[in-house]
Amino acid sequence: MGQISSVDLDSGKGLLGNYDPGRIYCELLGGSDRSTLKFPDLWRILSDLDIEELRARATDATSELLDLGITFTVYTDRDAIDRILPFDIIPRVIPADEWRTINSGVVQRVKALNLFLHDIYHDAKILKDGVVPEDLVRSNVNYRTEMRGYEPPCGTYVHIAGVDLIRDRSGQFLVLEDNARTPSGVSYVLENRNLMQRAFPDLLEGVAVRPVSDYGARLHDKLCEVAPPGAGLDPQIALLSPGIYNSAYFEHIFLARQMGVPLVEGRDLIVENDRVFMKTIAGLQRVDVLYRRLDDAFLDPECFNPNSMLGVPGLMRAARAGHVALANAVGNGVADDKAVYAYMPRIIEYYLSERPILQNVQTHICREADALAYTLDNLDKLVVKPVGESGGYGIMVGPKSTASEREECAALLKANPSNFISQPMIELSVSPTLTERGVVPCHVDLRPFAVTGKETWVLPGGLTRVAMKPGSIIVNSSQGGGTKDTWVLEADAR
Amino acid sequence: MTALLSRYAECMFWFGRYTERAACLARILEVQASFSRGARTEAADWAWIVRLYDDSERFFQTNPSANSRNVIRFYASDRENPGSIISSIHAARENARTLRAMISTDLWLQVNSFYNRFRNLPDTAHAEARIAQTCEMVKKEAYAQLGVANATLYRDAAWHFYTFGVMIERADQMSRLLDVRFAQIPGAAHDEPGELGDYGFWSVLLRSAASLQAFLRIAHRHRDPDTVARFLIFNRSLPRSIVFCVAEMERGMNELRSRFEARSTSTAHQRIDILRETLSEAEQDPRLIERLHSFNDMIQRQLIELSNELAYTFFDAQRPSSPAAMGATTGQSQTQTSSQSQGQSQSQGSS
Repeated sequence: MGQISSVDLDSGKGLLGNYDPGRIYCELLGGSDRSTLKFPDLWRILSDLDIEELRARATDATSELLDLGITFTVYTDRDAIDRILPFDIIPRVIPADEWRTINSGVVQRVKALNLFLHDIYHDAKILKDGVVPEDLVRSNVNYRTEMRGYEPPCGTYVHIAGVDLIRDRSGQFLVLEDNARTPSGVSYVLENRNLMQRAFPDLLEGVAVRPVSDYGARLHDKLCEVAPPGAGLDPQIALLSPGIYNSAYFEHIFLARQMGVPLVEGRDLIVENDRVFMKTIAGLQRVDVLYRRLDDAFLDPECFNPNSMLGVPGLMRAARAGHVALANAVGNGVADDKAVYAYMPRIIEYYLSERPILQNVQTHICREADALAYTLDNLDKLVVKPVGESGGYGIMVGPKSTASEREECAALLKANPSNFISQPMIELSVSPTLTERGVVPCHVDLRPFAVTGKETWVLPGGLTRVAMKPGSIIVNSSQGGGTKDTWVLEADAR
Repeated sequence: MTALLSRYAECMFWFGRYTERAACLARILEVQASFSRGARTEAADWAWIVRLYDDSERFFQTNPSANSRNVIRFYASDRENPGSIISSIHAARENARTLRAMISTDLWLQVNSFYNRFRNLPDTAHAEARIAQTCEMVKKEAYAQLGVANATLYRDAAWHFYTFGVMIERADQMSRLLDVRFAQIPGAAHDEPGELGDYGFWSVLLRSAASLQAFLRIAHRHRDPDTVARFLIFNRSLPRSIVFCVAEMERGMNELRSRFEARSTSTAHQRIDILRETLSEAEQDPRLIERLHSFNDMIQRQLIELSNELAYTFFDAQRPSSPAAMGATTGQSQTQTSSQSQGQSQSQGSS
């Protein structure tokens, strides 16, 4: 096999013959200076494939997803409609050296998030020192007074974190968002790998890719670490789900199965004497750790939404008494808020006296007069996001907006500036993706998953989401995004 | 060892029950459709199926007459009828969906593809001319479901609740079939004792119970109503006989107590003992055939009481406070009452 040079790029032959990411950073080819290929072996294998062959394999993989029920479910009055998250068959590859940066950056970030949460629910030094505005924290809807003075085991609040990363034109990874509540998507990481191993055994052959299959075992270990002291050597862990009508129910099943723990709903649990029990055929059985995939608001009708039928009355009492550990902790929403996000670099430096390893995307906090004025003047260049929303809703992408959309956005901004942040339009990196138009560059992001008990472990890989609509940069699954298998290589890029 | 969640035990029970129900119902419709064509008028009578499931009230609310078209629609594709094939397959699947963290992937695949296959059938598949083929497909798929469960389910406590569901439903279906069919023995009064008057009638009955071939093998020379009834009720080797079903449940209950530390099983055990005694008394009774209706009534009531007892003991259901409310009356097939739909209004709950 001869060396693959940049000449092959222009040869116009094979699957990738017409693939051209232009000046945008490409996950497969690297930056705009493409004098050497980043992954020559993979490039060669892909180039040799026939598009019909690729399509056939992609179709097989998709029907397998449906049969296996690896779906998110949309319920109508009458029926359950299972939709699969579109799966793109061309993997996204991360070399070992890049991964080392991501890994240490994510570990640093999670550490800072945990220290921040502990601080704001105890002495609030960071607020007194004026590093983060007090009202931003205290008046945040996700700030839970019930958490004041509570000591979580190991000091861990964010047991499972999903830190959303993007890559700019220079190839630098930036943090777009922290997810410290109930980040989802890890089941796709594991299932996507399974699919790739079946659809593309030849592609994986000879490439040393770090495995992801031990996620369930790792998660189980970490959750055991945060069990209350009285739980003994083999704590009872359960996964608390809102039930079959939740769109992420498949993931709840998946994780319960991977960990070998019962998947429970609120109605399976009861709190007696500040202890949590599940109702079994052998009577009541103690639960020590709850991995809950239920929002704070629904968790305990005694404390939060009194109409919640999904939660467990008395759960917070049991947690505060130290008889059950909740993962993730209650009240984390204040830390992954889009407004608090802007302060994360300063939060990292404040607690750790370290420079942030992963940078933020430049963020204008519209509650500040200068930032609001700047945002209003540059609406056509900025991305405006409401704070406290999730799922990609309510985002105004300036450069792709119409005049009337910008007017509408300006009105909203003026009416309630502190509800918004704005960021420059980042050109997300692209990765070759199979679409109806052939193999084309599509924008991607990356959500690595970090699991924390005493220490933090980061799953090598993470969820690569891909915006499959032409030109779209919104990768969220509720907005038509798909996913890719993410390969972290044992080796560095060449 | 983590004990089985009560809710999972309940879902396993109903998953088994609805799967078995779909299989039984499909077989009955299939046999009826295959043998009614070109048969004498009484064989072309479809109304007996409405009587079989005690559905007259519900059926005649929406149907002026029990003709073949209406009966087929009501029992095959009517979602408003909780006892239809589509409702049974759907209910089995919704229970399986809840159970997905426990059941084998192979079983889930079967449940899912079965449901999708039936749901996507064209309307023409439910026409009288096609219903026999459609029901044959349903029967095969439902048997496949029972088979995959058998071949792949882990034998823990959950398995026993699944078995209870299958066996209670199967025993109930058999008892109903005997009750309704023996009430319409053609020309019963005129037959010579020890003879089956209308061979066609009896073979249809045995086919409906999936027991014709076995019967012919063991009782070829004694084809009289008493032998048929005793075969279907008491034969220990016939997997559809009532005695067989009760014996399976008894075995399951014993294991549940000895291996899985289940809650006090004594009242549930008593219910099974009562069933066994009823059966053993009936087996000794030479004149059973004359009181078949009251016998079947008793069996069905005792099955309902057992089913309810499982709910009180294991499924976290509230035992009714008044003794009157505990008395079971036979009637329509039992359906799941647990709050499966709970939480639909709060479908989000998490991001």
